[in-house]
Amino acid sequence: MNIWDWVEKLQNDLADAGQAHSAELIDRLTAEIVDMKPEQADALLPEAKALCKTLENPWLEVFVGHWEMRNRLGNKAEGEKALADAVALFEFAHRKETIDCPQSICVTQDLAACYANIDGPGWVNERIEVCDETLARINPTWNCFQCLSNEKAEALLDAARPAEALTYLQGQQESIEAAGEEVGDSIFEIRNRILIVLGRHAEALDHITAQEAAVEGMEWRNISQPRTLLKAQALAGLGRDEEVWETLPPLPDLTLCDHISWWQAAYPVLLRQGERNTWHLASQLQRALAHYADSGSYRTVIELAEFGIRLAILRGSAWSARRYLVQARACLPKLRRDLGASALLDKLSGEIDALPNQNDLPVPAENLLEHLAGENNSRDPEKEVQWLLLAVRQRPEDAALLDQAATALEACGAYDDAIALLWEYVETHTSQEENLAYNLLGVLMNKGDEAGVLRLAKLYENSVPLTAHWCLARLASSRDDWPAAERHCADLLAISPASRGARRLHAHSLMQQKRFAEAAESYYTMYENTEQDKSVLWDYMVAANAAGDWSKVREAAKVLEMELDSDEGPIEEDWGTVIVRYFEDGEPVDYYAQQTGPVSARIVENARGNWRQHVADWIVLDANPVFPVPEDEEELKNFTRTFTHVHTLAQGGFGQGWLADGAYPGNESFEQMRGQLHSRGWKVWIHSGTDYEVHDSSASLDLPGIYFTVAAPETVPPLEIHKALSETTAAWEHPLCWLRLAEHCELDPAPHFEVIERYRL
Amino acid sequence: MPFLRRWAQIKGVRLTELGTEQGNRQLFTLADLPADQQAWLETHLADGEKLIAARFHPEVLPLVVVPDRDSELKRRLEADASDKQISQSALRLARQFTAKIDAEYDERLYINLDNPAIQTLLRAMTEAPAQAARAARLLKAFKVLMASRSPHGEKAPNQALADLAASVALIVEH
Repeated sequence: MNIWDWVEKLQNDLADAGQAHSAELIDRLTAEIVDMKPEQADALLPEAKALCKTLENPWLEVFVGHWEMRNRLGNKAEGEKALADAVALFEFAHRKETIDCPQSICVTQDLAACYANIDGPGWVNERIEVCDETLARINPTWNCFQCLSNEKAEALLDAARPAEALTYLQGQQESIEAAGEEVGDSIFEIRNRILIVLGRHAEALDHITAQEAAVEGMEWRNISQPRTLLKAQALAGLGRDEEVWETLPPLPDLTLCDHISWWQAAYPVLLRQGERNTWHLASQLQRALAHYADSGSYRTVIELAEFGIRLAILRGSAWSARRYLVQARACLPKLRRDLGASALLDKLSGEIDALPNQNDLPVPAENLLEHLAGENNSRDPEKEVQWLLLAVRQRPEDAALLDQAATALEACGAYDDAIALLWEYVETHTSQEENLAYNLLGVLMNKGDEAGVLRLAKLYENSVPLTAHWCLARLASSRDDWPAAERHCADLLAISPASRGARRLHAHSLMQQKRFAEAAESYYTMYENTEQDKSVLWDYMVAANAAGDWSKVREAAKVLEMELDSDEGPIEEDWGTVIVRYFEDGEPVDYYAQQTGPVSARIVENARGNWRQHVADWIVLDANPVFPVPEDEEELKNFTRTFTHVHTLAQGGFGQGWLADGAYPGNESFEQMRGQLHSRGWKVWIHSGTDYEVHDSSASLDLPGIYFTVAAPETVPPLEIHKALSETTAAWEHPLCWLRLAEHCELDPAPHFEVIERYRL
Repeated sequence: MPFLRRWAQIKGVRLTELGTEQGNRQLFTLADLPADQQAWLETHLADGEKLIAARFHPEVLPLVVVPDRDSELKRRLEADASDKQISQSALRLARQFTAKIDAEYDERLYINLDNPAIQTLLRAMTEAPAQAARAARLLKAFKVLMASRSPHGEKAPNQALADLAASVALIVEH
């Protein structure tokens, strides 16, 4: 049985049983994973696993387990870190109750893929055996046939047998085609990769360009991103360096698993373009290196470290080169087979040793900071860090030097080194408040080292409780544990009432707990303690407005010299159009709104589809704009300020927004329809732009198009909206479609499909 | 879950999601104990389980026994029956992993260092070792009785009930 047929049946059963949400969860989970959004997928997994238990469905458990592995092995490039779970899943997928689940084949592949991540070349023979044995049990009509073929071709690549890999993959492709199946994009991806390894860059580029040209509509990121990176590799192989940079996505936009591919493309170009080989890029390489090391992807660490070391040598940084070398050497014992890795690292070590001596300070240690501050050229933390560390060794009690050294280490991505350096000082300086303890707290928080933060709090618990409370407050806020953050801030403020950071976090914790009136008080105390800093007054105004205390909003507005039309009661004026940003399931969602006061607005745009409806909600905004106001006058003309939603004062009470789409009937007809719907108290919002067109295939004619949503009060049945739309558009020459609404009302969807087809919607 | 998330957001309350890395970390962290304390707890509280010091919620729960999944996995994968159902090459790969598992313990005993009873016990261990040993006997009985209520638990052994009765008698006498 095809796994997807089975999943679809399960989803239909769930939907029929009134569990449409659970059915949708399965789709969302797989969609996030193929769209390479590992964090979003992680957020859905606990619920998906709970669903397996609730339904007592072992096949679903295998399915979810396999997709979790795709996320971990594919998107996060986990190696040894995932091994225990991959083995446990493999065992579970071969029990009596699961052995017949088609996805247990995929789980076998997951196990091989996990070993490939740990040490691909080292586990080549075992991986090939697994692929051969498993492929022998299935035929090309199975989805797994393509995945397993890829897995084997990759193993052959890892075995340095690229020509054989190519022949093998071509054979598999022919088998798939002969079976009447469509060859998937992943087969082409591996083929392109093999061509690049074979040095046939132009051929690979031709294939990729053709694939790009053939893309129609939306494409999953796990197809497009690797292809783009392979394109950059092919261009690099052809020496088309500028096009490489045009093609490569910015590193921070990439899922971590693809960082190695990015470096494979960039490395040869960086060797040729020394000016691009910067400390800043090196700190990003360190980030990826740390990720692969933490994930137990040991062979990748060594490959990436080689790039890092050679580039560091070119920059003249023995310090960076040695750090990469240490990290790579730590992976050597974890490899299944050495295969020349030790010799490579020994050779690189020799090259680092041959660099000019870097153990001399340019000035005496006590003058180093002054010397660095005085240098005219831009600061280079990688260059400075070696001097700073040497100076710290001579002057271990010099807090300013330590501060600079730790900052430079952090800039280079050497968080562990920065933490170790700061601990060395902090552990022996606990009798009084130390700024370096806060620096350490900052690095620990950045790294997510919660145990370290607890240890730091413990260290100062008795001697400097203020420091301990601040550590615990910061930790609590990072865990969204707002009552604890509030408590620790309150304890801290009892000792040090003027502490601005604690006051701000205290007020913020109250805001997060929706205790707006208390938050307003806290902000006001802060305002008074900070010599009446007006920026604090804005936060005060937001809190007071959320608390519904209009007199306080008015007082603050007066101090901020804002003119209001009225003197008392709620403020509801027309302050122009703004955009309000909500965060729903971690995603930003923006809606147009009319600003009604200094920090309040009413949403005027309908939400579409399944998004939560906010239209007509009266809300409080954060006072800080999300985007800065552009300086360019032209840009300013089309600029609408965006603010984050803080609190809803009153809900509009509208239900789901239903989308209608089709040819524009002309102003008069459209306004007539809109007027009729408005007269019922409903909301109509046009989402399409002025350039939106539809194509009437029956007349081969391009027409102006429109798509808009209709939202009615929650109490109005959707069928009534359908009827109203039918009536108000009945006389239009070109019919519209509102498929989702029709489906929801269980009406015949055929007329809507006809419109979609006729106008190519 | 989305409902809970939304509700927690609207109400301004904290939601800890078990099963996520961050959620688990908030509720459960491993801790270090000096070797002598570890040894003492093993002697007085363990019945062949692997004793692990940790901090977890709720703080009122002094200890908890859970099956050692790794040992269970090793047993299952190394059983002869596995050979019949699983691809041999893949099984060899899986066994590469299980070969490294120390399957000495079938269960793990997590001791909650945030629990007041455990904290008192650790203090009393050096200050009043005899009383500490008697108190540990009560905790051990509690452990056995609690484990017996779990879906996989055995019936409470008589020893635990006897220890419980003896502890009550001691408390009444003192």
